[in-house]
Amino acid sequence: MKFKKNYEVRIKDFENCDMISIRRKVMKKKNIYCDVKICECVSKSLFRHLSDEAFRELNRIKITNTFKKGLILFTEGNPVFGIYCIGSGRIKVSKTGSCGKESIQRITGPGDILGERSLFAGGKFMKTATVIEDATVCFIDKEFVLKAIQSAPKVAIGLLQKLSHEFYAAEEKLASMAQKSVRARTANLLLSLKESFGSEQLGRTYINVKLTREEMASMVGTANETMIRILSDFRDERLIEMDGKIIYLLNAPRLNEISELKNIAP
Amino acid sequence: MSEQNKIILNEVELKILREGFETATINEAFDIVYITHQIQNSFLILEGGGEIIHRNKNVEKLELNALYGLNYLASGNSVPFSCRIFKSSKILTIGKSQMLHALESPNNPLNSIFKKFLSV
Repeated sequence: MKFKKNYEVRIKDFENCDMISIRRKVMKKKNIYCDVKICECVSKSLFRHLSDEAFRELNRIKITNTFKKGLILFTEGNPVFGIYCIGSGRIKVSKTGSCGKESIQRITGPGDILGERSLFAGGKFMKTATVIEDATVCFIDKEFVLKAIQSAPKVAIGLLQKLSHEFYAAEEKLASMAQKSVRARTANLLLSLKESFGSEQLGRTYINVKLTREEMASMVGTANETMIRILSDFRDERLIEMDGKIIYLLNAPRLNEISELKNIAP
Repeated sequence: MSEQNKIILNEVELKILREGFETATINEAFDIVYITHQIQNSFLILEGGGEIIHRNKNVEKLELNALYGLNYLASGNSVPFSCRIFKSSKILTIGKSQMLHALESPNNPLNSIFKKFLSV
């Protein structure tokens, strides 16, 4: 009798539903459905200016997949077919130097969008995106993105604002590389990771993304051995605590002072 | 829904597709779709090549001028294979918004080509 009742409930769930609705229900159960109305990507991105009709279209054409750690979203040098919105997980964006060495540019997380700069800069990906923590990502094809820009001026303005902010941040980073010591840049990295991925546990702040020392060294622009030494110094000065790849920030104000220090000319 | 992965196009159909969509050259070999994923683009290889790796580990070479994956793009079902495009290949891709636009426009020359694929 109990089985029969449950069976009836399951049938009722799918009565009067078309195939799209059925698929949506199945994907919700599998926890990989992304509703653009509440999606963090959309609320932060240039798509927030879309009309209701365009939102419905976006919901129809976006493709959501779950990527395991280690999979590649796109590779530097390949043509851009669309942009990617991160629903969950972490993805590193890196560039390969002429000697083949990987340089990590940034770590992205939920709410971030990848590929839009490459799309407008010439149609080829300028970086490689690799999943470092299992991620759910929505793909939106470039035809929709270009149509959205053309049909909604606010979307175009939003894009200009976003690109301007990113350009300014890139100039700041360039100045930092030229003027600041490795120690200051490392402190700055820890603080920016805390801002993007900081979490609290038992009253302590930690960086909720696991990076190898080599990846951190790549982001700062220094050797692996130097990064290990500086982190050890910070630990000895009781500015941080390390538990494997997890880093707890014990004294953010002092790290902030160090990050402001510039190289002093001899 | 057909389980067929591809449809071979004739000269006329190929010409219509090439006029309607951009082609791109692949600089680094890449996985256009991973197994159990939804496909992001239907594609056609004009030059070069690639391979499909099925669930049972069988490897199938991609044919030139054959349109792959349109049925999976339309249905939204996950694919039972991985597919890799080789370096230096020239491909043509069809995004979901383009496919839907063609299917909803009876006068679009691509309409009959796509419907033919989906009805096989």
